[in-house]
Amino acid sequence: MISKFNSAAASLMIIVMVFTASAVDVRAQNLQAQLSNGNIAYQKGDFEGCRNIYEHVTKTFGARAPMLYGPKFGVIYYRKGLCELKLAGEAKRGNRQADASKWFEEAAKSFEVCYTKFPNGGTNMAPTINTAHKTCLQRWAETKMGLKDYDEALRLYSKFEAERDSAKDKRLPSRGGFNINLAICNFLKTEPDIAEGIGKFEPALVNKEKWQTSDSAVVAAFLALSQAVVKQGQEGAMVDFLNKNRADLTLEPYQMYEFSPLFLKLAANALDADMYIAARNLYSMIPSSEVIMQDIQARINQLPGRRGIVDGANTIDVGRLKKGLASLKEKVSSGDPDDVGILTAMCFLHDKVGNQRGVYAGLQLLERYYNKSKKRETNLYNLVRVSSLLGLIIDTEKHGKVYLDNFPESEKAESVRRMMLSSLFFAGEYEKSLQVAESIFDDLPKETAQHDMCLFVLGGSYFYLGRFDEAQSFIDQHIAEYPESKLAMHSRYYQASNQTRMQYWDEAAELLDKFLADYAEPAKNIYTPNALYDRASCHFSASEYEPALELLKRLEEEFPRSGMIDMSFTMRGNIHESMADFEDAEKYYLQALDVAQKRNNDSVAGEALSYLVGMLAAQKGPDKDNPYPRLKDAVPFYKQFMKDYSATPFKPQVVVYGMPAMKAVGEEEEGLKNLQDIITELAGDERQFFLEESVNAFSDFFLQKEGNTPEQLKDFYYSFPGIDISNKRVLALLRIAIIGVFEEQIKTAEANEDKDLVLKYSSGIKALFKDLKGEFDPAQLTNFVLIRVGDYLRKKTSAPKQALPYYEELLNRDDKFGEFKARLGIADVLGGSDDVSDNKQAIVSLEDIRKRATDDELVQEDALFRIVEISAKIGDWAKCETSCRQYIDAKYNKKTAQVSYLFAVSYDKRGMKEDALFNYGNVYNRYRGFILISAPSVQRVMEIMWERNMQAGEQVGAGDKAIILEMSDRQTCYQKIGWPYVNGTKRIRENNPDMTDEEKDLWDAVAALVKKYETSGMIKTMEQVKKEEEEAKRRGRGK
Amino acid sequence: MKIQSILIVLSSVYFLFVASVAAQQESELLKGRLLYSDGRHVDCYIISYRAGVATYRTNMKSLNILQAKKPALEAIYFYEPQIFTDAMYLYRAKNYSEAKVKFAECEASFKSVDSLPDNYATLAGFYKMECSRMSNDLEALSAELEKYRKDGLTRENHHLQLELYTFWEAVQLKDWARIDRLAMGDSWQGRKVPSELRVQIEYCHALALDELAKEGLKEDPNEDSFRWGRAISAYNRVLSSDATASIDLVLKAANNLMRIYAEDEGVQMAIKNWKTEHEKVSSVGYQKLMEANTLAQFYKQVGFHEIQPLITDYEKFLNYGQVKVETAAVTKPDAGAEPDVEKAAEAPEAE
Repeated sequence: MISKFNSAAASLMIIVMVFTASAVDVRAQNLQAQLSNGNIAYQKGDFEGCRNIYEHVTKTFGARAPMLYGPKFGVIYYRKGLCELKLAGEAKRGNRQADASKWFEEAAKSFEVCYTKFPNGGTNMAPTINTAHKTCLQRWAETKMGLKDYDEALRLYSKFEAERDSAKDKRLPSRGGFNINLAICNFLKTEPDIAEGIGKFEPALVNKEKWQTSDSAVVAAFLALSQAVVKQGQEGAMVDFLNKNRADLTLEPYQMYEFSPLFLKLAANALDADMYIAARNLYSMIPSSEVIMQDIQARINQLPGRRGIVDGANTIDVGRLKKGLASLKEKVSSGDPDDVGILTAMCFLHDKVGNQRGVYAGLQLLERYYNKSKKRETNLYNLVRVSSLLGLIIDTEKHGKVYLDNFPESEKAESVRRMMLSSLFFAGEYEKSLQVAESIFDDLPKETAQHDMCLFVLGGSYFYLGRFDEAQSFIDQHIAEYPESKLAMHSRYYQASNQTRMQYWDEAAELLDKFLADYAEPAKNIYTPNALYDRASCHFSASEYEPALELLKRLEEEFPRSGMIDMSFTMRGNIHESMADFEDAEKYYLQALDVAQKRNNDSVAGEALSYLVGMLAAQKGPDKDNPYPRLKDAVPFYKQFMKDYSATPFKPQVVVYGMPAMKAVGEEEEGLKNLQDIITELAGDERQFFLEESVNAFSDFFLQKEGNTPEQLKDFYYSFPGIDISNKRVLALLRIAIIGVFEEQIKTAEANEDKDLVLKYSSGIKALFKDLKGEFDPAQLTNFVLIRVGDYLRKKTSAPKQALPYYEELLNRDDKFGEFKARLGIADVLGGSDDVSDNKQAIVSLEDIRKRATDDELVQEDALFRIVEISAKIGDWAKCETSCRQYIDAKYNKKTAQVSYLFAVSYDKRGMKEDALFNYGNVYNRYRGFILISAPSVQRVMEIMWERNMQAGEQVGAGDKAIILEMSDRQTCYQKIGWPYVNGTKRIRENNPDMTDEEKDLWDAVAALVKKYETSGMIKTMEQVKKEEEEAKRRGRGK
Repeated sequence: MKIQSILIVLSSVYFLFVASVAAQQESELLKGRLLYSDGRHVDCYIISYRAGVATYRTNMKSLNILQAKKPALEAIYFYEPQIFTDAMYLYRAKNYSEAKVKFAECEASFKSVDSLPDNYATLAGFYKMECSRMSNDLEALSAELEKYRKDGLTRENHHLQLELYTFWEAVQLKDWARIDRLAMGDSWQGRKVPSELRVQIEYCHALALDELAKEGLKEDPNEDSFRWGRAISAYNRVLSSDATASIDLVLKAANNLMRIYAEDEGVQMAIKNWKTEHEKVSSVGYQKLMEANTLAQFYKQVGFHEIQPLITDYEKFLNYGQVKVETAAVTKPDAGAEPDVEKAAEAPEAE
């Protein structure tokens, strides 16, 4: 640059000298002084000052200049135009567009005057030479380029080429630069001529050194080319050119800073035109702000205190660099250097094809390196969103926290919180989502989207965590409070399915039907197959096989690729098995296995195999010699399971149900070993599902093995391999198993009338229960053991209240196995209390148990019987009657005798003598040997009839049921009821050693009553009756 | 007079010595401008610079050897030597082997001034190492780095690049765990690194995580998901870090990503089950297949395919697309000012 300044100064000096030599008058001396001042100003870089001097000169002398000074005066206009071009350039760089246009126009006028008014050899002009006459055409063209009139610029360049003297009139700024300008004009004219432009551009590149094509000119032309290809949609032309000439188009960073905004703009235009290859290439050519700044600083440092230097074809203008550096620093400190736009563009390119990982990576870089950007909030928000979409839950949480820390008041804060929650939830991190939701729930204002989401996540998390009781209220609340929520459909499904999981089948069925009706379009309801499956489960639980099969068929036909399909096949297998359609059951289990294997769904594959093993091993056939014809067929499935799916939760079932099959094929040892292993495995589990069954099976098959004895089993269980002595609950379970074995031994001994053995095992059982009570804290026992111990203490000891801690322990647990038995136990104890309020409470509790324990009929029966007993005890005879009727109507049979008796008592106690008589009569007729109820029944019948005292011939009852008495009440109760009963059961009373004192007392009371009536003198004694009968026989009458 | 004669003789001897050195190096002298503190300057050919004394001649034919000393001599500006210009041209044209030869020549030629800031010997040495890195000759890079004198470098990004060679050295040694530690350590995590350098960190780190995941996979098939995820993320950052300026690294990263997807059992399963009854849209393998598909689309859309075509195994990912889901996470970047490109017109004016 300095040498150019020097050459410009020399040029001005020549002008001054020319005028000094020819102008001799005062005006000329004045002109000389002014031109000299202009020269000094130009040298100082004061282009505006210089231009003002020339402006003054041209205004003062311009009118008569052709005549006075001739064509050479045109050079002053040329110099003035150059100053104006400089000023236009400065204004443009300073982004003062209006000023730039003004100066370009002024310059154009100056060059036009130079060309049109001062031609060499013009008439009436002094004979001087205008050395800039042709050259100014190029400058004039430059002004037109500045004014974006590229067509006119091209015309002027053509005119210059046509008129120039090749020896004198050089192409400006160099031959390379001249070509570049022609290329630019071709690229940017109204109708771009890309081929012609490239035709000018490429020689300037090829001859870069020789033609002195500056680097910046090359890039300027490339940008013009890019603009043209974007405009004309010829992306390929630009990309080809770029790939061919990349080395020439890559500038040093200090040269790029002025071009960066243009590259950015063109790249953005390319994006707008869907020219993604062009856009990417343009972005890739922009160095980072840091590197540009460091390069500029280095260049400035290389020229301390200097204005600049021309190095080869490149000019280093220190002032311009300093301005550029200041502007870059300002941009960087603003937080939004061009780098931000470039990275954003990269994200955009990834997003165009849906490459979310690419988008996310770009956003990560933006946050990591440009976190002072004005768009940080948006970037962070998008980081939360995209990480959530990608399922990167830890990142969602991390970015979400940063967002909320920095923009707590943002309108998107709620949305971020929701995404943090929903991200965790939909990623299946239910423990975490629950934790977060619980921590914020109380602080959330109601009727907000955030509250909506939080409530939803609470219900859903509990649901998926299997905490169905806790889930229910949140799910219900969500549905009630946010019926229009976007998540309503999810909640509706959870609500229905939750009922299924809690086995409230009726409620579940109703909710599922409504859910399927309200969201009937499967395309919009992702839960359709799940709901169909759940609804089928409801039917299946109620043994409604056909409707269950209908739903499963629909699931298979409409959703063959659903995630539920293998489970659907499994349930179909279950249903067919329940219908004893073993062929279809096997077919569907195999189908389930096939699909699950293909999907790597180990759980369902393992489950299907477990069903196959269980079904084949238990499937009975007509041949008595071969009662289980498919037993051995279970073995391959057993083996397949043990090989590939033994990590699934169905191992205990397979090992237990498959044991007979293993024994049948002579692999008893392996089967027993597997049973032993599963007991050890389950012993270490938190939830010991199927442990009791495993232990029982082991006990059973251990004893089946030749030579093994119950005592050996007891010894084995007392030191079970692999079970630590501290594992109390399993040790307790093993003791219970021994008790079970001993109980079986007692039955056998009783059948064999081996009293010694009965005594031995009974003592053993007593000792084992004593151990269990003494050595084990209830908290250490499994639910099963708690029930066993509780029941033992309740039923077999004199202090049933001892059982309460065992039942209460069970009820305090999340695991509800045995819940109803425990509640029944507690109610039973309460029912035995002397406190009537306890008794009443027991009835309420028992009613609830009876209602809810729908899958355990024995519990229901026991509960109902205890209601009968307790209501009788407290004298609630109406309740007693109702409960007795329910018991009898349900055809329960465990306590029919007692219930029938209490049924009769209920009438008796309320003074309903006829009904009482009828029902007492039934009792003593049916259960004569059951002294506990038959004796009091007989006694009450006798007493009632004695008291009623109706005579023969009188009518009892009314209507169809009316009968005429053939014998008086008193005689009947003695002769037909009391006396026969006492005589008929006398042998029991006298010979049965097991008769309890209570029974004896009851029988004796009847006997005494019979005696009393007999001796009352009011009736005929049986002796008299018999005599009369004999007399009648003799007379030919009577029986 | 006698003393004066002696001084003349001594000075003549000295100049003869310097002249002989200069004569040897004549063709290799560096053109510079001596910048004096009083504002003057002299264009000349620098013979040497040592301890604040520059020895030079004003033109190549001159026999006079002159000196300039500090503090009168404020600085020296070096004109860019042709050999450096040529080397940089080759470097930018990715012809690293020829560029390296020229940089080496340039480095050797101007060694006599290599203590000065921004001298072309030091700069050439720097770019020589960059050639080694770019052509993946990491063994040569290590050897060159050992001998390299960095005193003449003035740009922070050049110094950072020297530090960053530690990563490449670890790549050469396959010390993947070290790269992971380096990348995650405070010394790099807390630093603002220009995009030209951060792409290298991300690439080396991705490579290391990729290799560590492979090792982990051998040990335990279930243990790779964490590292796999990190490698995927790091490779993706390579794709955007410097807007693909480091296209060679970017292409490697993109192809390594494709390889990871292609080798993934879940992806293979998803391909096998594609549009069959066993297709599991919610499976991890399916999701990865979708990622592979969009990556392959990106590869083609931004023109990587024209530089390095996708191999058949990766191109097949394009067959497994679903309806495109833009995240709508990103809006187009601001376009900024209207383009104004006629820079050539601002070139130096006519004589």
